[in-house]
This record gives sequence, C-alpha cells and structure tokens, in this order.
Amino acid sequence: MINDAFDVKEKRKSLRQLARMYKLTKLDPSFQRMGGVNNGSGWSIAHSNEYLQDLYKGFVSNTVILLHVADCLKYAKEENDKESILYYQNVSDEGYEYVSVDGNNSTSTIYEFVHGHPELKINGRLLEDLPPGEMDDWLGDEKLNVAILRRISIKDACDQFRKVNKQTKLNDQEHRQARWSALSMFIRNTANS
Amino acid sequence: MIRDMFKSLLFSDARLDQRSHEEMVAQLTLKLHKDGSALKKGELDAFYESNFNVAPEIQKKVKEILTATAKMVKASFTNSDSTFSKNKFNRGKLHNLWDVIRIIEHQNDYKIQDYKGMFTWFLEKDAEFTNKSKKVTEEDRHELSYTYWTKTYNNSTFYRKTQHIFERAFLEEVQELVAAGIVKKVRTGQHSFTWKQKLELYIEQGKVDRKNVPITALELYANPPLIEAGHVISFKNGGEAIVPNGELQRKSDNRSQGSKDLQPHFDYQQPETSQ
Repeated sequence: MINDAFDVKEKRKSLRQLARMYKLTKLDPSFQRMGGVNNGSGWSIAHSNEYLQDLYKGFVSNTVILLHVADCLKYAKEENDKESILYYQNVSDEGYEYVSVDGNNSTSTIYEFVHGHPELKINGRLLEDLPPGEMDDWLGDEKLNVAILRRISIKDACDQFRKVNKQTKLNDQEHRQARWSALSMFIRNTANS
Repeated sequence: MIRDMFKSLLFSDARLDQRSHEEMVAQLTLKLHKDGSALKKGELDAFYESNFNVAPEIQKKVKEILTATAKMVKASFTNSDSTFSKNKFNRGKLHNLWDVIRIIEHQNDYKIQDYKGMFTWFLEKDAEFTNKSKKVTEEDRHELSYTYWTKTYNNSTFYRKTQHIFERAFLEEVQELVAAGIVKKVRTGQHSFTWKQKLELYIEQGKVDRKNVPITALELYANPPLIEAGHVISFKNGGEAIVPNGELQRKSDNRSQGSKDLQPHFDYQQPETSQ
C-alpha cells in the first residue's frame, strides 16, 4: 500500500517500545483526525478494550505508520521543498521525532493501558490487577509492525493519510481537512481560534 | 474565542474533535465565496477539491462574522450564573445568525455596537418567525415556513428566503436599533464623493461656492485639501453621496457645518434621503 519511493523502513516494535514512541509522536490536527483514547474522534473505551483483548490473544496485526521527522526534514532540504522544510522544522522544534499517519488509536490505547488508564482492561482487569510477571513479558514480547516513512513531503504525507484511512471511514469533514492547502488551514485555524 | 463560541452554542468536545465546527466554517466560507451555492456534502467536497485558497476579503468577512458571533455569546450571560442552553439552538439557527450579521455589517454598512442587544433581537425575530411557521400547512412549507427553511439551511433556495425575511425585519426596525445604540451606520467609501463627482459639482456650481467666492481648478488638486465635497442632507440624516446632494465647499465651511443639513442653494441640488 505504501509507495517505496517514500523510503519505508519496516520494523517490529514491542508494545513497551510503542508506548515510548507514542509520546514522541505528533498527532497533527491539521490533517489527522483527533483520534486516540482521550480525543473525541478516536475509539470509544469499549473499542479500545476490545482491541486490547484481541492484542492479548494475538489476533492483531495492524501496522503503525509514522513519518520520521529528522529524515523527512533532510529530504525536504535536498528537494528544496520550502513548505515541507517549514513543517518538519516546526515539528522538530516542538520536540517530536515522529508524525502519526496511521495507527494512532492503537498506540494511544497501548500507551494509556501501560500508564494505568482507569477504564482500560484485559479480561475485565486493570493492568495493576493483572499478574505483573506475565504482563511484563507480554509488553516486551508482543510486537506490532511499524512502517517509518523517511523521504516524503508533507503534501504527499496528507495524501497517504487519506489513502490509508479510506477503510477506517474518516467522516466527511475529516476527509476534506486531510488535504494540504491554504483553504484547509484557514478553516482549521479560524474555527479553532 | 471562536471554538468556545461553538462549544457554548452547539457542540460537545467530542463533536469539536470530529470537526463539526470546521464543517460549519467551511459552509460559511463557501457561501461567501460563491453566493447561492448549496452547502451540502457534494458542494463542500468540490469547494475543497478546486480551491487551494480563498480571497483575503472573503477570509476577512468570515472572521468578522465569527468574531461578532463570539462577542454575542460572550456578552449574553455576563453577571449571571446561567449559560446558553445549547440544546435549544441548532446549526440552521447559527447559519441564520451569520446571515443576519452579514446583512447588517457587510450589506447595509451598519456596525453592531451592542452585541447582547443584537443577539437578543435575533432570538426575538427567530421566536416570532418560528411561531408563525406553526400555522403553515405541510404543502406550503417550502414557501412560508421559517422552521422548514432553517432546517434545510444547506439549500440556497431556502437560506435565501431566511435572509430575505431577516433583512426586511432589520430594515423595518433599523431606526429603533440605532436609537437604542444596538447598531450604528458606518461611513464607507460609498458615502463619500468620488473625484469625478467633485469635478461635476465644480461645473454645476459655476466654479463658485455658495458665498459666490470663486473656486479655482487648481484648488481642487490641493493636498491637504482646500476644497471638500459636503452633503446637503447630511450623511447622519440619510443623505447620499450623489451629485444632487453634493456641494463643493471651502474646508473650513464644510467642517463647521458638521452633521447639520444645508438648505439647497444651487439649481442642481434636489437632495433626497436614502432612509
């Protein structure tokens, strides 16, 4: 699904690693939906718990897609793509290493579970109530695919976001806003000022 | 401020995260960008697909309308423990309110002075129109029902009907709204005389002022001006910037006249008010 031209590096990351990466990942509302456990356009708690249950049973195989900010910034400079340089530089200055393209709901769920979210449970039990050794092993051993895009402009990243989210049904306005244009920026900035 | 306005009037945090308010701003922008456009999914999709940006004057108007709305909401329940009850408002009503602000500030050159007063006036009219709609039969609803027009706000046929009844109501009551300090007339370029009109006045007056003191053509070109074009019926009293209501005067005479009307002096002067 992802074009090789974007220099994709695929890796298997443990749940604990994914939880760490989540805090270094920017969820950009300029083109992303506001997904994640604590945002209104994300999964419900029930959906997150269902995902955790499936993950625990080993039934999950989704891929998390991220942009690597430093590599993308380097690529933008090589291409003299001013819009992308400005974008990635700003994200880098904010202290992020990645930008989320897909999989934000799953990584958000994993992060919140690892950090003891009071409503996220496996087999009806919170993390603190589950056997510690077993959980420790699971969080270190269970892995998900992570695809890291390293040579992609911000405009192509938006297009990629729209493509990968076709199946997850962005709502109409989320789909419109997932477009890199001055119009979409004007609408977002004005509505949220 | 604008996001808070949406939160106060219509949407929960979850709906804001789902970009419901952004969709409404997109509809408003489309309405100003392409007058008479429908505001449904297809038109909005095409708007985003075919426009990388919109003109700065459209952006300015969108921001002015949203800011005025936010000021209305903010002013609504100051010094009170109450807040605006969002389950009594809806998207159609908010679009109607935006149309009213547009009618007042962009189409009729008034400025809202008292935001709470203006919002109250809008809600009163909304209540009156809603009440009248109760008597409308199902088959007449397209033609006569404000409630139906509000519900179908994304159809241009119906939002134009809503605009029309609000504009009529505003113009019928504008003098009372001015007297109550809720709105005031704004002087724009349209209320000043153009250079061509000044040259016409120069000839019509026979190159003299009303004291029969000659005005030279050279004086017309002076900067800072020595000669100004004033209104016979003043702007404040509804006088328009048209030649039959104009007169070239020495700057000092024009300034001392202030907002007082002049008696017609020259033959071409047949002033009428616009209100």
